[in-house]
Amino acid sequence: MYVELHARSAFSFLEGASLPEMLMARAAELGLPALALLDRNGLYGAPRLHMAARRAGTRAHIGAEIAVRDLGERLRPAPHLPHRIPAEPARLALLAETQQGYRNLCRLITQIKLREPHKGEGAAFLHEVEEHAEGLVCLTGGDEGPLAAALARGGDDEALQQVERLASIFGARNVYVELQRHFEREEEFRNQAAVRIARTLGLPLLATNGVRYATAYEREVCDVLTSIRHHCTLAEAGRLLSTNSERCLRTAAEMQQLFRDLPEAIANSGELSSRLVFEMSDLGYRFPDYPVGEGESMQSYLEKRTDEGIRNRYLPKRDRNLFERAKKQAARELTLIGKLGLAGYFLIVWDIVQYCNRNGILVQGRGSAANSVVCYALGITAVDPVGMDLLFERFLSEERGEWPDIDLDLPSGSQREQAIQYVYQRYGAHGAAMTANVITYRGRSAAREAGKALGFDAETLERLTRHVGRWEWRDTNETLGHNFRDAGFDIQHRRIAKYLELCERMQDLPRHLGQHSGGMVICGGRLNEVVPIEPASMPGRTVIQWDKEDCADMKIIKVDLLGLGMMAALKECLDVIPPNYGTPIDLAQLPPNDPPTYRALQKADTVGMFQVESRAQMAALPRNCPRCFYDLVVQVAIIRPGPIVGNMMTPYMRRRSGREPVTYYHPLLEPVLKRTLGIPLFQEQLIRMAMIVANFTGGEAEELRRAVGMCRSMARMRDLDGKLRRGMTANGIAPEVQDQIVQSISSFALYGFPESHAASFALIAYASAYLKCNYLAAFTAALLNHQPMGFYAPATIVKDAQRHGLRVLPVDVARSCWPCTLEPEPASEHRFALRLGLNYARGLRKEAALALVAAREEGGFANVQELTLRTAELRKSDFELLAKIGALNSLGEVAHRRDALWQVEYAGRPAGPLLEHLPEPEPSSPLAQMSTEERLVADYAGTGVTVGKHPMAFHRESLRRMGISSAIELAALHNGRPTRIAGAVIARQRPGTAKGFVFLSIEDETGIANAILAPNVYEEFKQTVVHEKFLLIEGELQNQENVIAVKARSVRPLDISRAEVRSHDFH
Amino acid sequence: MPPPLYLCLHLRNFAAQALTHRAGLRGRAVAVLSGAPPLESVFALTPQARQLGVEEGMSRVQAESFGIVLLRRERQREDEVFAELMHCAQRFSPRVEIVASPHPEHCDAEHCGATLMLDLTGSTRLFGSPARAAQRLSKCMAELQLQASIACSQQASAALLAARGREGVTVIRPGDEAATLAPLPIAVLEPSPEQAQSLYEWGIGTLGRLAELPARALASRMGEAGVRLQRQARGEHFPLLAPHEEPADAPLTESLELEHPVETLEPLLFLIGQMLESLLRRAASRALALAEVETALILDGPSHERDDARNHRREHRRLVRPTLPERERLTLLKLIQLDLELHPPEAAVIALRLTARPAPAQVVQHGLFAAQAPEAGRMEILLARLRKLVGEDRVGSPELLDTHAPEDFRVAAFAPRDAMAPHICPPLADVGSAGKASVGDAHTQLALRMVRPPRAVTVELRDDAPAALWGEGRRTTLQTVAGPWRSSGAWWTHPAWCREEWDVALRDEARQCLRLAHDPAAGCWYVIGIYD
Repeated sequence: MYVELHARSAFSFLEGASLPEMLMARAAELGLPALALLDRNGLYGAPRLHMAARRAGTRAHIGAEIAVRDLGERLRPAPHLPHRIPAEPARLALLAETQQGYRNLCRLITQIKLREPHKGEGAAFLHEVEEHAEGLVCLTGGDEGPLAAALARGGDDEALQQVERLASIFGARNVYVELQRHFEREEEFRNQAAVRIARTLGLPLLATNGVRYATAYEREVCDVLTSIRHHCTLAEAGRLLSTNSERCLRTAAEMQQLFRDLPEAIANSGELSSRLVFEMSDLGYRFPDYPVGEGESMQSYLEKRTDEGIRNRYLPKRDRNLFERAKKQAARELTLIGKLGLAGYFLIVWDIVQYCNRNGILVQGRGSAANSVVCYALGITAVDPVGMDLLFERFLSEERGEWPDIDLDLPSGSQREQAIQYVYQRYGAHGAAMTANVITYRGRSAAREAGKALGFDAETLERLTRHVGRWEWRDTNETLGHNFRDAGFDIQHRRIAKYLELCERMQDLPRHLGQHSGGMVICGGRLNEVVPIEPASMPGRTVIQWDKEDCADMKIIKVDLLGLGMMAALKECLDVIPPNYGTPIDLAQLPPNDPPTYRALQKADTVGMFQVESRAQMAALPRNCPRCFYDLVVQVAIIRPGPIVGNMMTPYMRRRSGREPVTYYHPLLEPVLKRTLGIPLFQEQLIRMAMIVANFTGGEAEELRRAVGMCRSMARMRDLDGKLRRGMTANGIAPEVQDQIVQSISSFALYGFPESHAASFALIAYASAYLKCNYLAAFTAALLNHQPMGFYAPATIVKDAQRHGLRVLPVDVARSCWPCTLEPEPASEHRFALRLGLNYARGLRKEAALALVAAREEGGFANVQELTLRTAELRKSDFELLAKIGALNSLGEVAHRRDALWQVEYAGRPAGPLLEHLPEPEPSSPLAQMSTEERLVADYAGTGVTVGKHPMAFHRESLRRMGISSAIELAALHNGRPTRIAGAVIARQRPGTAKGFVFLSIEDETGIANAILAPNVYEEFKQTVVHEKFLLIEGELQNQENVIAVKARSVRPLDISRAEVRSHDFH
Repeated sequence: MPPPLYLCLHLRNFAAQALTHRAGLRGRAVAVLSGAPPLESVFALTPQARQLGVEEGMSRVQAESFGIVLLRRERQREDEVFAELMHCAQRFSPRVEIVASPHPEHCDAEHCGATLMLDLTGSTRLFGSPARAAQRLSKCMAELQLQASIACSQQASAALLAARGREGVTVIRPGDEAATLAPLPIAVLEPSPEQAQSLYEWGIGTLGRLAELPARALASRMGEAGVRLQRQARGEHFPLLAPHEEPADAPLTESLELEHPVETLEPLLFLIGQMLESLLRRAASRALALAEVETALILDGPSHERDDARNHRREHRRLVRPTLPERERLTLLKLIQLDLELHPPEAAVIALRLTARPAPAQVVQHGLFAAQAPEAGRMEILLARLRKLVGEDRVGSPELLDTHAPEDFRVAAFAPRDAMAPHICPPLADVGSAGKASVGDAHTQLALRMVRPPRAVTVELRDDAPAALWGEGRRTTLQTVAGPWRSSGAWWTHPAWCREEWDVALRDEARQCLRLAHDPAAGCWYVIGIYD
């Protein structure tokens, strides 16, 4: 028997060419019973290997190659051979024999990594290795190992001493003298020496293949990665590259043949494999306990807090029945929580929420947590699950045996960071960390880096990568080759063809480790004994070596602290509205059925509103015509890939408008589907359907939902599908109805929303809509202050607000603060104009802007000269920028923008001490005022917005002569009529669910018009669609149920302005 | 004193014009590509190509989609046409300034256009009025089949800006400079990017608008550079002409057309000797020697090159570069002779051209106690003789390359090592240890003697390993074999290399140990080394 005990995966970042799962799959294919993964200074790939081994029915051994500083430099070519291999410490190959060994390995890696001031490799010292040696087995390594290094340094004697040293650290039983045979002369010389040393010291020999890739073919990718790692081209890499292609996985027979002179080296691999009892199924992870007072258990404490919460939440509703139902549901949930031992988890999330509440940080739980009345009672979520009749099983079930998933939305920015730092502080540097996000090679990055390795110049790579991966939608014939052709490459050329092939082979290989946007793991005890922790690029943050999928696989609990721009905007509204408008505002107590809010929603007048502002949402809103909160919940959920792919949207809309009768797959399903008119829209409905029609338990039904979403659990899916059909048959459901039900479950289980999540988002959506409709100035200012977020660029938000009657004032050094602010309108009380903040002056540093504001507070600026003298923090370029955007126009002696620019140019030049008091020789500016076009260009270039007229407004007359309708006029036109529209492109989309159709939103002074481009039209006008800022679109008007769009026949560029209008393109 | 008169000649897209020049492509849409395949991009193009939508920087494939004529950039061709242009200009005036040219040596930056400034002061009696002189130059350009815009003025700067900004012939009468220049765009001033940005932001789009700005105010904002721009725009700038003069180290050329084709080297060498004499005399007049001499033999018969339309003459070019600049005719002649003997022309020679690069001669001061080194010239001849004897790339110092490819090295120029410099030898232990491990004798230090060229042998295999060797008509069985040692690389190029090596000990009296190599692609076996 042979077991490969020294393999390196692509998680050795740029030192291995195969993913762990590929290695394991190949090992299983070759008949190897186990495989050990030893990546460089990390356990990044361990969970994937473990899961792959479970799937393949093999065993995964876990270890790592640890760089050790005082083992000397790793082997390099002889001094007379030219090479560019850098000096690096030798690496010790360590395998975890027991759980203690695994813990030690995690701690050792964490120690190395966290010691580094920045994110980097790091290396251990031998005494640290000695401290963590228990439970670890040491291999003497291949050419990066300490034995090879010692042999090169001092021959047999030094190598003997080195191995003796290792034996004294790990114990003679735990040191294996490693032999690798890659058909290299020098390696064989080292092998002979290694055999002599092993015999002298009585240590066992171990044959490995020092695997770096699964198959010999992948050696090429490995070489490319080597070039990338060393920042050189393949042609320059020389001895950095591998000598041959022999570092692939081999069969036992091949290895036996290779080591036929040393059969014990092969036999020992089996023996060692059987010794390595540690498996990743038990990592010893536990969630921390929440500290409670004496005589109190976490469960009893949670029960008390829940009871208080139920009273606080439900008694004000004055609905006895609801209160009783909530109490009953809470009791049921608490029993299950107690049974599953999850009280601590709830209390810890509650603790974070409490911290946020104490510190004025807006927080709201999202996702399936909103199905739990306990979460509602604890203030974690804001949706009443009892009132809305939400399904608890979607959140938690006994059968699934997994931890619940609670995600918290926080205002993006510093407040979210404050909450994250609280968790670090509460659970310690070794008790909490962010989850990782593995950044992999995608089309663009692969093309750029493989191109560099092949020696292509920067300009060529730039030209190429511009064309790669533009849209979410990928045409079936849109391959990398397609992109290469678009970039002007001859893909028949041998070198280009090789380049293309390498790019494709590099897809999905890990490139480096990033951090997840908000996922935090917390551990009871030491997290660094469960998974290695390393510093993140962001100061004050640490990150574990696994991503969220790995954490889920390893049953490590993650709390998502997600940043939501809209939460930050809402928080700002809460702070701004009471002092300005004189009305208190509480998001929990907003008027539930505010007529202006629903009117706006029904008209799809939703620019800037959370979740309902996208083009697709706007197209659905008039048809759905929301009249109550639950309609909004449906609205949020319906524009999702699941319902769209499953063809749920159109029947729902038809039923809602009464054009189709409401029917059910089966009468039994009426209670479940009644609220959504017989159409399943939420994940909870699928679960309930399975429970009703096939007698599934809640847990089984949830497992079915998850199995549908994951391709890798096909076998489990088949089982559940069979069970589902058997259950339905037992309930007397006809086969064709069974098909319909199975189809509805499988079509959108993955991409649909849970109803609870939709409800949580709908709350925010309603709040944003309410604030927009009632406090437009405050809401718009808040939106502008927290960009980027949402679907539209600031320019569109400003224009939309202006169309709603808001006066938007330009940036002005005499009035503007750093953020956008409100200015009372002189004529009316509680009416405000919006003053653009200095944050909209592109390129102006915040410190400089704050210094300007501080100087202004000491007294206004009389003229440009005074401004420049009193604000030394601003550079000449800052003043030029302010002059160009008209921010200096209100200063004395400034007639217009160019005048300001002329003055600034003079003021910006220090005259020197002798002449500084001399007046400017010609006070008046000889420059002409900017033309309208020039002002527009300067506005868009300097601030991204214009507070004046829309660029299209200046040409309306000529546009009208060209037969072009404005956006507002489209509503009056008949369906099917040939139409011309024109405007600035504000959004381009090619959604993955739209079969290659491209959607354009174009804006003119009257509003937004939408155009739909069929794939063939897009192909024909691709360059224009992608690159032009202003378009003239000709086609047929579609005006159905107040949803208006132009089905384009042709697209032409419109030469109307050179203003850099930004479009939000969804790539 | 006659009034000054300047005439400016501006050729847009000179690089494209040079290639289409006399090639029957006039008026066609042509783009010129530069860069190495497959990454060629458009460098210059004719107005017709631009009208079709072709732009600088497009790739070959993109440019091909427009169905235009694509030509590869030929610097030599550009130089030749530029020389014709200069020659034509110098017929009008000895004082010609090269303002812009595609050749970076002529001016600061590489342009795809060409601009010349001619000083025609005092030539009225020779060429007539300024307008007439301009017309004559325009006619010359037409004869050369080049399109140029021409402007003449009493002010060089005004002539330059008018030529850049206007088409055809422009004659600026004294006093009309500002009015003529006023409508021209700012770009003709070729301002720096910062200046261009400032002027754009001020809304100054033409020279007229710039000219109107108050000078003092402009000076306080844009400094002296701004004032200079404004004076240019007003036609008040009087720069000094910097006529083109051949630099001291400018190449020296001697050409000779033969009356009839010559096929043997001897008569050619006689002629080359004479031409060398002349070149050395010219160099000596500048107190210089010759650092390199290029011999171009123009051959009988048509060119086989791709672009037959131009019907280039075939040339056989050889470059001789002595270690030190040389003054001795015989030394240079011997070097050329040895080189031509090593690389004889393919056909009879119909013309000769020698181009030499002069450089200061180096005088070696011999140390009193230093060892006498061979004289540089004689050493050079010795090396040239050796090159002729053993092959060009086999004389010099071997230098190992950074690659796994076996025995990959290059022959660098022969440079005796400094006796004081530390010397790094390949450690014997490495060589010995390799052999030791391979052949099995743990204590014998082996040296490897490479067999060059490798000796082809036939090998009998048993269990995929060599078992016996056939060579020189006899079969020898192998006592011990070690291997295979596999190496491969350069898979991204064509062809990639791949090799297997074996160390074998023969079962004969001598017990000789050999290194065998096997090329799996060709299936051939070689003896590449002997251990002893």
